[in-house]
Amino acid sequence: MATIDLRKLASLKDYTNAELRVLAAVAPAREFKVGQMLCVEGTSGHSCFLLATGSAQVKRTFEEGERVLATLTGGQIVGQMALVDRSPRSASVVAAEVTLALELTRDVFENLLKAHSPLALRVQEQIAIAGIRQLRMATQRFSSLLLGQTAKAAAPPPPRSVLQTMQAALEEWDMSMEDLDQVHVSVPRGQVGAQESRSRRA
Amino acid sequence: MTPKSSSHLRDLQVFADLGDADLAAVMQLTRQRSFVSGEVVFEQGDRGDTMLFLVAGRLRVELEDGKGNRTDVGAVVAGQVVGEMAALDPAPRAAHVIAASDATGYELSVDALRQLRREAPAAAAAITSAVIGDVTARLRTINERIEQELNPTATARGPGVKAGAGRGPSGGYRPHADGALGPGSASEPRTWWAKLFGG
Repeated sequence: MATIDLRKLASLKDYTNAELRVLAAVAPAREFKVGQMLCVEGTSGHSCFLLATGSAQVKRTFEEGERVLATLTGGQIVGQMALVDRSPRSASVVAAEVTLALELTRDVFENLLKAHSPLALRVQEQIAIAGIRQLRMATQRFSSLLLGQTAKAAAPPPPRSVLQTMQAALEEWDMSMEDLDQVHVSVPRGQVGAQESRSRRA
Repeated sequence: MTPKSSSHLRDLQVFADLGDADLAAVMQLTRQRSFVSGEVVFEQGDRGDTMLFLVAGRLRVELEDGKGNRTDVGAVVAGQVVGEMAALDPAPRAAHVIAASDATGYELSVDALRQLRREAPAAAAAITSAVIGDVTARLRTINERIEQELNPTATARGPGVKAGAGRGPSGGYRPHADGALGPGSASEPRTWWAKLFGG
């Protein structure tokens, strides 16, 4: 287990000293080397990670291969759905450089919440807000994709890869709309990508 | 205005397990609102930072498209909550909410919820947990809808979403005249919205 002074991390500057003390006590810091996995797609998750230093990529397997959905850096939480939902990990999270992450397990989180720890309330609020933003994005994006509201002429159907990417994004509450825009959508079978980009912006 | 009654709030599932002191704190920090039938509760596009716990009556949820056409997309009945996302993360209201009968509710603002976190954390945790549950269910609904698009049944869909299907008429994606989503399964364009917006 690595030791680290949490107060020195810019990514945690919003946390009070009292919260950081609790965090340090209940969420051990783990160091991941490049390529090591924080979460493995398809396996059952029982904890979330608060990235302290370094960066990690969210990857998911598609029919045509693995795709990077997002890159997360210090201060971001990943895998937090495991704290509120018992479904398997929807994506893998792989350290892109040497990464230090605090691991908060579901059991610890639930106990903290029962004890009304401000830290747990803050994490719970973050989970809710991430989900709310994801839902708003999804509702807006998916309905406009289907309605083709921004297209003057008949809109093309949303390409399969866009839908798949969106579906994956929905399961990862960390992903913002910007993350989704940055996702590289590979176009199988030699199709031209411009149409896809247009409908992704729609 | 009738005096506040905590027994009303106790009827809401979200508060069922709270102690009297926590429920009293919720009462203290909410504002009672009464609406006559037809009155606007929330206006689509207005900045929202409150949620409403409905204790009596019934509300209608309407979605307005860019042309001003409104579609009835759901209902909120006594015991349910509406606008809850805005109390955690203020944003423009996603739909109109209108009193479908005389109605009474208790409104909680984003600031009041913050205060609740300090003064009655159990109540704040219960509310946040209920919102997470609701958001999770709605995300699952969207996910299932996308699944339908990805794996349309052979009978229900045209060429649909095959990658590179081109710009030709695709059968499945035309909007309905009323602005509801086009037929994923042709029979229930409104059900999908209702799941998202309540009712």
